[in-house]
This record gives sequence, C-alpha cells and structure tokens, in this order.
Amino acid sequence: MFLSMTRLALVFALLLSSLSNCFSQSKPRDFYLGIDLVRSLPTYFDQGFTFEPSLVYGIKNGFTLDAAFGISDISKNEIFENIKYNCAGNYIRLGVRKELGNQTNFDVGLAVGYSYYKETGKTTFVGKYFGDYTYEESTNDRIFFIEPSVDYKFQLLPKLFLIPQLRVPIPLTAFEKKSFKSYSAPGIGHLIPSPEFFFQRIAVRLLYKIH
Amino acid sequence: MSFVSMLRILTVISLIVFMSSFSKCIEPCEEPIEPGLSVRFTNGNSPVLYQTATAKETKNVFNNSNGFFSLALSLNQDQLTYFFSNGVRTDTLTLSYKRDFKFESERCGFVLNILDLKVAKPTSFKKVQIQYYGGFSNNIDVLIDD
Repeated sequence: MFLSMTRLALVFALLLSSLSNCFSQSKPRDFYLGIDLVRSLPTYFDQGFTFEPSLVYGIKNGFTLDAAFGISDISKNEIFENIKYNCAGNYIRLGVRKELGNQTNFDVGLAVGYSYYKETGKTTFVGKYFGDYTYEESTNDRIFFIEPSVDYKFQLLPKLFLIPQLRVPIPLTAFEKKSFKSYSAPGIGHLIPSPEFFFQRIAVRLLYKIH
Repeated sequence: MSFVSMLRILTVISLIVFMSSFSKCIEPCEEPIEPGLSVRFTNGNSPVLYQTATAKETKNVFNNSNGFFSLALSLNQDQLTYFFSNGVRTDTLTLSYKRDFKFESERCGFVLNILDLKVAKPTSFKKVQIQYYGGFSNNIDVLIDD
C-alpha cells in the first residue's frame, strides 16, 4: 500500500515531536537542523529540484538519531533520448549515526528509507499534416531502502557544520517496470548505471546546532 | 586441424561477433512522425487519373506523383477520409485503424504501431487492397483496382 505525502509528513512530524520531548529530560542533548546542499543546488539538477531538510539529535556515547524528509521533482535524464522524463515524489529516511572515536570527526551511519514517487515519460510525435500528438505514460512506484554512510564533520562556525557524506542507498524492494525502465527514485538517485550514478552517492550537508 | 587454422577460425568468429554487436549499436530508431500512407491505382482498362487527394478533416491537398499519392495517417484520430479528384469525378477512401503506442527502448523511446488498418465507410471504391505488415510507423500501401 502506498504511503501518501501527507502520511510521510505526519511520520516526520511525530518524529520531530518525540525529539522535542527529549528536551524535557534533565540533561539536554545536541539538536541540529540540517539541509542537504548538493541535492538542493539547482545547478546540479539543472531541470528540477530536491529539497531535503533533516533533524539530527545526539543521544549519548557518540550516537545520534538522524531523520530527513525530502521532496524531489527532477526532469533531467541521460538515458532516454526520445523521451521527456520526469520523476517527482517524496522520501523519508531515519537512521542512527556513531562517532568513530572520541577525537575524530568521522561518523558512520545506517538508515532505513522509504521513497514514494511517480515517473512520467513523454514523446511528441510530429504531425506535419494532421498535427502533433504527445504520448505520455506514467508509473507510480515505491522503494524501501537501507543506506549505510560515512561522513566527516567540518566546523565552520561555533554552531555551523559542513558535512561531506558518502551514502550508499541499497533498494530492498524490487521496483516495478511497468513501461519504461525505472530510472531514478527520490532519496536514492539513479537506479541504473548512468554518468551521474556514483556522483549521486555524495552528499554535502549543512548542519546548524540549535540546542 | 593445425593451430594456424584454428587461430584463423577464431579470428573470423571474433570478427563476426564484433560486427554483430556493432550493428546492434547503430540500429536506427523510427522517427516519431506521422505514419506514411502510399496509395496506388492499379486499374488497367479504364483508368481514372486522379490529380489530387484532399484530406477531409484538414483540407490538406496532396498531388499525384507518377501514379501514386504519398499521404499520411493522422496521429490524433483513428479514422481518416481522403477525397480523390480529377476535377470532374471525386471518389472517397476512408480508412480506420488503431494507434498503439509502445515503449521500444531507452534510445528510441516510444514508437507508434498501426493496428487493424482497414477500409471503412464512406468509401466509393469497390476493390481496395491494403498491403501492410505491421511494425512501427511503417509506410502503408493501398492498392485500388476500380
């Protein structure tokens, strides 16, 4: 059964609420608000956008909870030559991170994610005498994935951090191939090899410590 | 069989495999355009020389070119009527068909396949033969012996 965008947002809101409740505890924890710069930059995705805000909450002993909710609408593709492609959808990612040692800025993490999206392909047939015709097909799809990752934290300002991150999303559910091949999924990137396949495994996050 | 002979055979096989894989790479895609429709008149005893064919819906006029007309099927509808005229006499040919759009490949995208092409009413010709073997956006021959 497909989760709607509203349900995904609700899950995210519940998570935010539970994290906020943690502040009522006697010992305050670190709490960060973040955004993924690489996926949000329009120069990277020159035909669309991905917006991925995130929340990071420090537990103890170097462990942190990491949650992200993403909205994506991408039209760029390097695979289909005669198809105008679009992939739009949402994703949610929940994970745990652990510092590698006390004095290092390296983290490793493991997250689970759910991506819900719609892929659309259009081809315009040129009608010299009777007019053009645009044929369109779309498929709704969803993918559960796990995502091991490793990152390094740079402190830019006392409360501002820049975090290059290597993520390796691994789909757990088979994506459907109803018509044209599943090409990409929000939160995962390209599902099949392409020129940007490996580049999309790199993220750069900006985290702001709000507590 | 000597080693040299075996080497030659292996070379030839490798060459064939290489050529066949190369030919797959350059396989042309059908252009996403209107399917062509070629109409020829094969009557011999009392030929009527039509000068023009006019599409009913769009009023596009096509001229006779060495005994046949190069027409087109519409991408937007499943039936099409042409009026053939020589200034004195006008005959009607109506064709019905189904448009079947399919995903062909990553490189070629969607293609159009014309299915169930047949003569429909109103048609004033008595003997119309359609030569069409399916496929994507192929040209279709309509032979009229009337």
